Amino acid sequence: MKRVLDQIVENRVFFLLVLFVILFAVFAISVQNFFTFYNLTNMTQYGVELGLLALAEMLVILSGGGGIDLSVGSMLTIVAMIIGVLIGRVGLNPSLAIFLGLSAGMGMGYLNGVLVSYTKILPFIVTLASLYVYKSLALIIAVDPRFGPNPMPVSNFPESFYFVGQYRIGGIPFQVLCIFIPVILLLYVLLEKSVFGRYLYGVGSNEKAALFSGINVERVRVTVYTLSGLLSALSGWIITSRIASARPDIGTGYELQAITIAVLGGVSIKGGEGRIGGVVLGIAIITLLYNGMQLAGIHQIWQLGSLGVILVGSVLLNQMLLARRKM
Amino acid sequence: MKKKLVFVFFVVLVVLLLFVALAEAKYKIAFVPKLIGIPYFNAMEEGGKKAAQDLDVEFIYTGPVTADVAKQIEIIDNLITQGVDAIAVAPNDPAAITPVLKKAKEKGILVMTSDTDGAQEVRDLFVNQALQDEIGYTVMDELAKAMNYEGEFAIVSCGPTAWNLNIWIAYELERLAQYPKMKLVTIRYAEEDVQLAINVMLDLINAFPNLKGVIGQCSTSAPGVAEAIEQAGKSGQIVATGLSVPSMMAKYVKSGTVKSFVLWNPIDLGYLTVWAAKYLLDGNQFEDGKEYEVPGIETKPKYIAKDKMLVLGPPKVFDASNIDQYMFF
Repeated sequence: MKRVLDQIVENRVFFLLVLFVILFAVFAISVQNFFTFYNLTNMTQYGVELGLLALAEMLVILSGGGGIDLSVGSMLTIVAMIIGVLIGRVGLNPSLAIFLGLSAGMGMGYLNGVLVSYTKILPFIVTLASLYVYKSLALIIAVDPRFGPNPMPVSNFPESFYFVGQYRIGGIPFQVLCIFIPVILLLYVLLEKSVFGRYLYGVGSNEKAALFSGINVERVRVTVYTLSGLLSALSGWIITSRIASARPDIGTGYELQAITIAVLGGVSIKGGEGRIGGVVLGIAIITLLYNGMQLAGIHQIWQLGSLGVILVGSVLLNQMLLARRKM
Repeated sequence: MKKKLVFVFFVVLVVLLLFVALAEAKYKIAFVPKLIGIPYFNAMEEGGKKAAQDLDVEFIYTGPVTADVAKQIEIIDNLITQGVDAIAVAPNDPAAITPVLKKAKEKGILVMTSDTDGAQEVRDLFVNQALQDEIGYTVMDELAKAMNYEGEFAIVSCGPTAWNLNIWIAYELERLAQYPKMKLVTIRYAEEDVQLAINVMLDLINAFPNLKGVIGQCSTSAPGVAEAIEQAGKSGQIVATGLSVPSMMAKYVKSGTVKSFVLWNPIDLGYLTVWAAKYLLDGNQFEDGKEYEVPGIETKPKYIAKDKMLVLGPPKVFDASNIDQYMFF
């Protein structure tokens, strides 16, 4: 028993698992319509877009050196607009448009990575700048000359485009089963089982040591920013397909929620520390929380606040338990 | 002791179950505004609550804290999970709202739009605040009255591509034919920005010395043009009217620069939304062209079958006699 408690306190992933189970139990008992197959599968779709951004944030923060990507929300927006405009206004084949959108996302992430690695400007500043530049580009792309100088959403997609965001397989949303879960598994292999993963943790926890042991620090960092661009792009594609509209105002404010979830998941803001399991649980906890609160009819104004309370509360509780055990 | 406890426990349980059962018996009618926490939608909420009390239904008012399209969809989806009987929405994106409303309809939920239309092929009813033509006509009539039916006037609109504003302007010009002594000198655009509207109007005052009146076409340009008239010291010489909310216009109504302006009553709109949902849930059908007697609101809503639209009534004119009652939106 003592050992289990120790595990819970010392291991962030375990701690989050317990938190998840408690939250789940509370909602299952007290909230009507929560504990049904329909709701439990249906709610997963709302974790995907923010979840992909949180995973992107995890990779970037892990790489250390003050790593952070404030532009994930803007990359989501711009990719959504690229895909939307190419399909809806240019009339391009959807597959090709999606391919171009995802490539653009990678390109923008790559650019962030190069600026961070080779100019030595702080990631916070680089990605804060790209947050605004990419957002502005998204607005420019959204301008429809037929309606003057104003950005307009695009919503004339072929029915096939909605497959990713709106279809179900055995009740489970397609994007969860065929994109989100595979992405999590791939990232798990990348972080826990591959050489690159070891390099990444190495670079994040001790840059100098990594450098002396012959790791190409710059290349590792460029890679994670590029992956961050790709994950944001995937998120932009999925959200466009789900809401059937490409909008230049979608994704605003997502970057901070994504960072919050990554940190809640146990990723140390100093880099080099944190497990993908924790971040996935963080995503699950937030998705659960939003769903449970909405079903319980709790006023919307409490929802964003609850994210902050859960973050501070869980860290505080973790620390208190740790301190008590050491006494 | 133990027996007593068990007994108390059972009583509580039975009461709770009864409570739940009773609550279940009422219709659950939800309204999802574009965003919560702004005076206009607060007013609609108030109307909805009043209707829920009068009609003995449960009213759920919930929406995103910013005009967030994705969040609005998520909220509607969770209302579907909750098993409400009717969902009315003021969509932030008329296309993006379609899939989730389709889903609601497939689950047997009554689907409506209110205040703003969307998903026309899916929704069962649109509760419209006023007809486009009547809004345009009323604004023109109010301007004509204030200008004593003669002289030059200008229109200060907002976004040059705002579809609803352009439609209203078209109907204003149609009505102008009835006032041969009045002349439109120009239409200018000032975005959704009060300060810009002030600047545009100050320019107009210089450019057209014979100007007698002006229409502020949207909620920001109407107070903007009135402010410019006062800043230029032309109050009494130039009158302003337009479409805006009482809280922004009251100052100019009191000073006389604005004799009257036009909008609708969002409280009644909220009331009518809940009333109409209950009416349809009870199995009634609306008849084309019929005007309905709705106790609790001041107009007689009319149904237009070809658009599946229930119109609150003619637009409401606000002036010194009634503005104090409506200062909260």
